[in-house]
Amino acid sequence: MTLVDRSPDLARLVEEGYDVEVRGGNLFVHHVPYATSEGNVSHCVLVSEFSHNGTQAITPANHQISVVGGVPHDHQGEPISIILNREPVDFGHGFVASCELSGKHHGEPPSNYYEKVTNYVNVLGYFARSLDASATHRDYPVRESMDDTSPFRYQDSWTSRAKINALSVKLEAEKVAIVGLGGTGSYVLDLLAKTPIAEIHLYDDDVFAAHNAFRAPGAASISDLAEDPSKVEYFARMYDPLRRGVVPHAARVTLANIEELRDADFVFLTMDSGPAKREIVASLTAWGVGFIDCGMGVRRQNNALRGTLRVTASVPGHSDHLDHRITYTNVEADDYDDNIQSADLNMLNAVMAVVKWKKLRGYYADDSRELNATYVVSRNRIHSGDGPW
Amino acid sequence: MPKDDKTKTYRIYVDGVEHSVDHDVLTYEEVVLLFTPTPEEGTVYAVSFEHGRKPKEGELHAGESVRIKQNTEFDVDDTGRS
Repeated sequence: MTLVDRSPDLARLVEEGYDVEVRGGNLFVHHVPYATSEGNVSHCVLVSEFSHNGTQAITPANHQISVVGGVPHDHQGEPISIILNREPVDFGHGFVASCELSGKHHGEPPSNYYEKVTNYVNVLGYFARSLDASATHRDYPVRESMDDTSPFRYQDSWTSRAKINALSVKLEAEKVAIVGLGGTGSYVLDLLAKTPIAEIHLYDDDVFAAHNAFRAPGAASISDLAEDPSKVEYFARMYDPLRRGVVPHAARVTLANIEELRDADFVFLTMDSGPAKREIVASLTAWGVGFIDCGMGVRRQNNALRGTLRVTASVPGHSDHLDHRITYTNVEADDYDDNIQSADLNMLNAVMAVVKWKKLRGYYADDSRELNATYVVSRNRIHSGDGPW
Repeated sequence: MPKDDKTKTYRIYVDGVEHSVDHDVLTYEEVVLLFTPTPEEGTVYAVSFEHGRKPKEGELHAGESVRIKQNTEFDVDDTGRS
């Protein structure tokens, strides 16, 4: 059963020959006839936000719909009266809307997608059939109704409501790895899991224990902990309800398995410093694999905590700054280091890293193009360095 | 008081701890030594400062220095944990 099959309003559209498709969190209605400004009949695609509860469609969030194709006209060659705006909204995968329509049947907002879609198809089709009586939306083969390429188990309807689908396409990657699933790495996973990365590979050889639960997203139960799960298995299971493609590797990354990172689109290094990190950084740099290294230091002084968070990005051809940013000393050797971390600082470090990754993908504007950022907790300052690259 | 008065001292802070230094150009290495008398060989410390004389604020890397004034504030950390 697909989302369309389980939704009576969508199933009815399919039964009546509408070519509907849920794609990237939007509802697409293909092959809808409309009248052009030249008095011809052409076909457009209607794109609606798609609200659902994961199982089936719910009441539409709004009554507007976008038109991919031309601007619909009436039988006298005038643009139809329900055009709300002509802003070109990009829904990704080549679908760019030419205008947005706003109309309610008898002044009532649609209570389901059958009402929403048929209202617009009828209005556009009325004028199309006044030019060509044979114009119909029913003459196209019904296609797969679910987006099989999406890693998500249900569609991301927030992205479609916000109309940023074309932007989220920028985050589509085949393979991203997170090396180290401690406090920072687990929050990096929490954020990446909600982006359209096909495969997120997790590397850590530790067991998920009680102290980890207090600096990780979510709420582990006693029975979760009693099984002594490996961290990567625990997190792979945790995100399974949301998405496919979280791949656990219960191992450290060493020279023995580092080749597995060679074909990664990007790597997050969220591991304690040590000689192993030097080997990983050297290999990724040599292969031209981009990565972000996260690190923090927190100490107790005068009965309060002070600390610094660091996010260091490496992009192909720009690695000269790494030596004066990334520390490779074995943390166990540092007498001053008592490994104080807290969920909020781990989370902030992870957020800084993921925001930077999204900037590197062009999702967020990146005017300063810095490759390093340090946040000093006590002074509430972020220092940007090593940029613009 | 002559400008080259060798007895002049500067009160600065490193991670909130007050220190007194007798010269006004401090290197990365000197600041790290105020943070820990036994820096770990090979560790890269993240050093930043505010209320300097020149520059007024920024970061320091190995081999770099900053001209300080009274109450210049430094922060130093080993950012090796994740």
